[in-house]
Amino acid sequence: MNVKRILPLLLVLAMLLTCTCMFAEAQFPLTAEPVTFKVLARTGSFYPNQDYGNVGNMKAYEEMTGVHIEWENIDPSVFNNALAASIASDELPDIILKAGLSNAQMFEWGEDEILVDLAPYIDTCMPNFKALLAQYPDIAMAITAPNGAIYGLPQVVLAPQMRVPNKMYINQKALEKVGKEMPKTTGDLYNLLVAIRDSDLNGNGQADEIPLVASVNWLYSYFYGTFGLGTRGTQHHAIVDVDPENGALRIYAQSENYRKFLEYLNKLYSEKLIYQEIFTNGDKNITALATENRIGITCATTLYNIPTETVDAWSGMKWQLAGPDGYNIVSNCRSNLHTTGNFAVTVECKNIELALKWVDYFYSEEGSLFYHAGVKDVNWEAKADGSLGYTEATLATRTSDMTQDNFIAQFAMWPGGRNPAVMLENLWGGEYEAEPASTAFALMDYLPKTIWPIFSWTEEENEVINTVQGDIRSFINTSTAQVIAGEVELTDEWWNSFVKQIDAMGGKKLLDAYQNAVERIYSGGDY
Amino acid sequence: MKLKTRGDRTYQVVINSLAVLIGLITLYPLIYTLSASLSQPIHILSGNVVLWPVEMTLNSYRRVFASADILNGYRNTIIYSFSGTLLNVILTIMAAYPLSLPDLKGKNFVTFLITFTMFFSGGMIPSFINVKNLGLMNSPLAIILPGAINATNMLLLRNYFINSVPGDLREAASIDGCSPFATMTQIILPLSKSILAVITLYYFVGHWNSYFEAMMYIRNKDLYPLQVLLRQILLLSQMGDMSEQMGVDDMNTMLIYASLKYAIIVVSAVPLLIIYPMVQRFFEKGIMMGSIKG
Amino acid sequence: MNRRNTWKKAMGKYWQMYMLLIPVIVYYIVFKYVPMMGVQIAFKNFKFRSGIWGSDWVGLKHFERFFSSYSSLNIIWNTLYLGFMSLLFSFPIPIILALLVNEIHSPRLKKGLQTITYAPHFVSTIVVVGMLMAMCSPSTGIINKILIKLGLISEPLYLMASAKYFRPMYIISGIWKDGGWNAIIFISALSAISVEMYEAAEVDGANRWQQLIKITLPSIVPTIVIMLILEAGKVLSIGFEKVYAMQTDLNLTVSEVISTYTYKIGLEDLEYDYATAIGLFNSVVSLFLLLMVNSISKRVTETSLF
Repeated sequence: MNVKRILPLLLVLAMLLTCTCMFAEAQFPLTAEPVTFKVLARTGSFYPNQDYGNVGNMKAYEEMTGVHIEWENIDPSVFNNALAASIASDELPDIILKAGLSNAQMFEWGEDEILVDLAPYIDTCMPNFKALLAQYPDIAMAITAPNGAIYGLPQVVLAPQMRVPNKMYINQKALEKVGKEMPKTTGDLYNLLVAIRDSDLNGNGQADEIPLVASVNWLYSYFYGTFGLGTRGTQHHAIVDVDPENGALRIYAQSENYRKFLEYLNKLYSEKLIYQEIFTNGDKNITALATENRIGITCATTLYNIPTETVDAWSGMKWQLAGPDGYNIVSNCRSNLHTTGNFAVTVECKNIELALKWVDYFYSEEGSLFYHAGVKDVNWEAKADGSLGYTEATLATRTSDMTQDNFIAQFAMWPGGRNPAVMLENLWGGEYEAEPASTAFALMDYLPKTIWPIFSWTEEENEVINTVQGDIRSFINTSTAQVIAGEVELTDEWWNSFVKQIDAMGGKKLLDAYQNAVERIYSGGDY
Repeated sequence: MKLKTRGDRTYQVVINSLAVLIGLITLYPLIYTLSASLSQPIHILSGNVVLWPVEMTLNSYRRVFASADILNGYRNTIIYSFSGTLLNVILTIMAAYPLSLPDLKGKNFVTFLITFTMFFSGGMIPSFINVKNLGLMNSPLAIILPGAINATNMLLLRNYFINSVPGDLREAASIDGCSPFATMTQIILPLSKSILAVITLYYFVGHWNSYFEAMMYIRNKDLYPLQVLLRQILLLSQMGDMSEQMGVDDMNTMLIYASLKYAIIVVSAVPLLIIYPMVQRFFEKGIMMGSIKG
Repeated sequence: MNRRNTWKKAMGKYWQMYMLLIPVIVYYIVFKYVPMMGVQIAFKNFKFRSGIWGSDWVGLKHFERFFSSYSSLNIIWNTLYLGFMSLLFSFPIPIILALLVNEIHSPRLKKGLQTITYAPHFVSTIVVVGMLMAMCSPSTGIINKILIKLGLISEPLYLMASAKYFRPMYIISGIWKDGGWNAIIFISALSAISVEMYEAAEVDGANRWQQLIKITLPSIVPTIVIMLILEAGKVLSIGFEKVYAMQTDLNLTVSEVISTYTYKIGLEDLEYDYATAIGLFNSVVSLFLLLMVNSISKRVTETSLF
């Protein structure tokens, strides 16, 4: 196509960009000599046969930087095996990209001399990332190994739109129909749900209204905060938090408030205020139910489930519901980090400095846009009103069978997640759309005062986390589901044995591991 | 055989009714699959599709075939399935026939060595290293060779040679001056058409449905078999980690996956349904016993 | 001396047969036994850099970790229970189906039933579970509607979520998917029975049912026995894909099996040594079950693998 004609323009553009760049170090091209890196990259599960070599901004970046990439694109369903196999057979790539390696994995491979410690190079080669580390100590905390090394680069999330994934959306038509206000407390919500259940919202004469539909995960994690649970964020730390009463570490499912949480959700479920099929991926039916105009409230990231014709009637709740004890925390929230280990350099790499300079651009404001939205004035532009958006020419490439993901994957690296880049406020689409974004901004006021980042565990701690935490977590999930579905009765006897059982499964060991970790990570003691 | 007594006739009625009943129960989900692949996706989700397509559309098929890779995948799958099956059947006979001979020394040891591999394997990483060391990476041979003999099929064939082929036949042939090899190819194998048809079918279907080896060992997308491509489309419908960018206008695009997964079944299974009657011919009575008499 | 002579004799008579076996043995060594050496990482602390041979031995550490983990006994029990139940209910169905096909006179009905029961094998697991979810839905599913119409239940059952229905749903859907496919081997075995035997029986005045019991069934016993031995070796090898797709928070107490458990730990942390150890335990028990059934069968029916 006309790529060849665009490329010289891009080069000029690149020169201009470097002049206006905040950081003088980002001089393009990065290398005068042609350099080739072998990159092993995880593709997204969104696009069959994704080839990053064909993605628009990566082609442009090759011209800008002078760095040639030899891509090896691996399907996510075999990625871990393929990566392990290529390491075991001594066929290391130079760079592992979009893998989302866990801290534990990276530390092991670091000590094994498979991955390179990047910490010594950050000062000299990564001005943008260095600035982020200086400004947000949480990030360094999360990615630094117990031995002080940094083996991989994370996805940094500074955009408020992305900090609160779980929002409650209410169908305004349902509110009008029952003549009620947006609820402020769990009590209000209960009354509203009862009213919607009995309202014959779709006017078909049948009592087929389903007041609240959401996946169990979204549902639970929304209500944790209203009962003072998950006080350090549940995205990265699923079952341990700090008791807001006394500041001690706890497994929050063992607290009295968890019992209240169970009683509340059981009441909603047994009175048919929650969709009765939530335990078998009932959230998959939201679109169908919404089309039949049968639902009132949902918890989700965005409104993509709601049919386009009715989506305007839905608005996000701009505050967190308060529970019976007044707690109104947004516990399903992210720290500054989305994922770790999205860019790792192996010992095979001959030019570590250049590799890091290559990726550092994506941690700048300009580079972030380049990474997530493609080439300026080719894929996106500043509109007359000052907002940013895709160009007409780019929008024209979207066919009717493409999702947003498929569309973006043509020219930018965003889809599939696990990105070595920073996400700022200035993107658009998905969680940046008006309703989810404004709701997320409003909910920022309800975030916990401390959000634990992803921890870097020592090897011993990690073994406890892997075995004990998994077992306890699935026990809690099963018991919770049984109570909510009414398969067991929440008696004192049941509750006591539930609490004891968690201890018997190694709850104390888990808390000890956490205690060690928080004392090491928060050396000031204020966790 | 004629139906003589009243008892026999009653028996036949019971048998036939039972057959029809089982047929209908089995058929229902198959019809559902076909109908769902032809329906507007929203009706699948809301449970409106019960038996026949609701708001018939060919969109999901259009979507499957929209990708040029699919036809290439079909071609690759056909090549791999035929050549792989040929190799499988030859090697399996080479293992099963000698091991079926009652007086072949060492046969139990070799049989055990083969059975042992049904249970113990080194796992994924050693297999990968092995394939790499043999220089088979990115070659169709990496799909075909590692599974060249299936121990279960070998044991089934061997069991047939032991139990269903009369031992005197071999002895008679040997007295007539036939070498063991000639006995096998000229006398025993023609008598074993039905079991050979079964293992040929097993191998063929196995190749047709396999995807893991291709995903692990093949990086060149032009060499992908059909199932890898279909599986990638299928996994799309699981919506994995995509919610980050999902926006309000994505719903209609996503809906198609509700029917797409059914269309994929139809697209990949139809060729296998067509070949089955060819295999069935070998199960008809008397097809091989005739050759004994002759 | 004597030993060497018999070998010599066998080689003389069967040298062609040994030539046939050579490529087979080479195949097994190259593609199965060489990679099988990797199983040693079950006893090692596997480090990628040091490789399979260079990693340090840790003895039974991984096995201890598995058996001391809280859920291991429950997982093993779930696996065995589901495996034996599947064997018990799923094994006879293909045999009965094959006998039924064999008894049908009308060629069209015969072919039709075979083709219809064969087809579900090609419906992928993900879609089978998807259909189950749709058909068993308490609100819209056809199964609940039929059961209510028939007056068997008054309230719809949440079939796909509850722990008590997990095993029946797993087994019934498995029979639907693979019953016809597994019948093929028996149908093929039935075609080998000579027509003369039936003719002789008819002369003796045996009715159809007696012929079925006296002639048809006994002549496929060797095939049944071999299949049973092979199936017994697979009791623990419950595939992960279907169970995983059917798991819900409510049924996890009965639906967590070895393969789903290893998948979960392998996926999250690439702990190949630990996963290999669990797999090795699985293999040893499976081989033991196979050898046990094999030796029982050797004594009772004189049919066996070795």
